[in-house]
Amino acid sequence: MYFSRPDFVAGARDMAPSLIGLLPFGLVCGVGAQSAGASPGEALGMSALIFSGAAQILACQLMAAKAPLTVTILTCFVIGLRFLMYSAAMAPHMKPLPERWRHAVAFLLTDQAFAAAVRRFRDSGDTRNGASYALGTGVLLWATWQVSCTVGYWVGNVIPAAWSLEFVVPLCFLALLVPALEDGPTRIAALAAGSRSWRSIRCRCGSRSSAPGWSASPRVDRRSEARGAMSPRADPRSSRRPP
Amino acid sequence: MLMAIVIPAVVFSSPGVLAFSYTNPKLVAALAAAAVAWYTRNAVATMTLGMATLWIAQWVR
Repeated sequence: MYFSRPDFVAGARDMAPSLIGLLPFGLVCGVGAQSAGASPGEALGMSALIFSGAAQILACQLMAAKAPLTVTILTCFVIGLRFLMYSAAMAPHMKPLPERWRHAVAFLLTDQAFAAAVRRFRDSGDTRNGASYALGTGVLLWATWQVSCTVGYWVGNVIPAAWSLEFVVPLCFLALLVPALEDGPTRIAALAAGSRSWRSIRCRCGSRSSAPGWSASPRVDRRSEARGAMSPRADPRSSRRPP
Repeated sequence: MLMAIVIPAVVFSSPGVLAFSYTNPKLVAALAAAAVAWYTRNAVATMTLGMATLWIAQWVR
């Protein structure tokens, strides 16, 4: 028996502050899935299985742009690469656990939970306590994530546009990106991607802004800009349809 | 590639209009968020403070 209730509760309690950031992010993911044309089952299944805001939003955008399936999967994979590192750091602590436990904790791993759980494993030195703690963090975050994604899917569009809630998306990507800009090559790659997107959008907007029926919704426009910015591959005309 | 999503979302105040100035609340908020991300390396802090900055900047403007 590996479950320790006090540690499970402690894990959930320590994650409570990060729900402030998680809730609006989940709402945005729900809105993103809904506006990308996903069915309720697809949207909820996506958040239940992927359990990663950045990957979900990107996947929605790429699917809505009819990008090839391989591109979508590869993109999500690259975004999730940091979890390879997290898992490797957790692995030595998790070794004595049964496979069932390791799989559960690995599936529920998130950035915040990782930082807290590794600290716990190190401090307590007891696999049982650490594992229950990690499970507590994961269960709370996963459950909250499902609720906020569901709420976002159903009611996201009634949130006033003045709140600019969709701005959470670029902020999330900044949070992933900025700490990674540690060496020269990464910085140059980021600069190139940024300036490339900026140029392609400028051209696009020049030709489109004169067109009648230009949409007035900032949310929709921003998404279409982001989609156009992704790469020429995201252009529906040049992309192969996913099988 | 993430930068290609962030930049357009930040520098366009309205479609097709570039706003590279301190009166663009999104640019102000993104710069603040980038600073928070760099120093804290915490995604939740970045998003919370970024949104707070955005709302304050929108209100001040």
